[in-house]
Amino acid sequence: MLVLTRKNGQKLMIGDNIEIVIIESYNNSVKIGIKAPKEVSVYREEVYNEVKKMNKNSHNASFSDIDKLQEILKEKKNETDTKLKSVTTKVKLHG
Amino acid sequence: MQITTEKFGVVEVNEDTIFTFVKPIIGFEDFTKYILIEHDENSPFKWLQSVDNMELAFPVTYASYFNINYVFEIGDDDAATIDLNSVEDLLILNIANIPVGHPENATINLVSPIVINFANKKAMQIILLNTEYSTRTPLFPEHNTLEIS
Repeated sequence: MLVLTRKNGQKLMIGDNIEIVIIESYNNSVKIGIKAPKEVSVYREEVYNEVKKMNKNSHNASFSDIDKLQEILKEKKNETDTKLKSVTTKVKLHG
Repeated sequence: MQITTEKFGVVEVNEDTIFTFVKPIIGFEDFTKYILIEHDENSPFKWLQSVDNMELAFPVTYASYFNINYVFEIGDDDAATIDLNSVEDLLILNIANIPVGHPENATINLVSPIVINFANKKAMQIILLNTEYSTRTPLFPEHNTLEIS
């Protein structure tokens, strides 16, 4: 890995079109500005890894578990309907 | 055209309904063409099925169905990436995680939505920066969620 020392306000170029500037550093953290072409995505590494993990995990889902999930949704709706019904007054309109 | 899928067998695909991921689903850089397959007629869930990999299908849904208040901004660069000109053309889906055998612990990922331009079928997965949302928002908050490691 290439290791460089930079001062606040100094920049790095990665290739011709990615610019990184050290805005400030304090207390073991560094504020960084990044200028990159729109097709280059910049992510916090831990967020990127978490998203990757969740994506990889997602496609193991089974068809039947979604059926079951929908049953739970239906049950919940029925529960609410029943609760609501038990405290709702029925009115018969005349005429 | 016809594609063969693991979950749905042989599927007849109208080529107009194929989405092209101009930025891939993170971790699946080799696969950029997907279709949406309905789970069943009234389901809030769809399957984002890869056209090129029969085994690859993500369950997706949308936050508003679960009364989740979901608001975020799409940056100019991201909008440009899928040539998005109008909010009307926008379709937002979230990938669900449904632990095998434990659908009550299902979560959806609100940090990295699938953003689709309906008009040209260009799509991408974005990662929201500086967001309060979670990658593991439970669909049934009254249940404990399983840890995924």
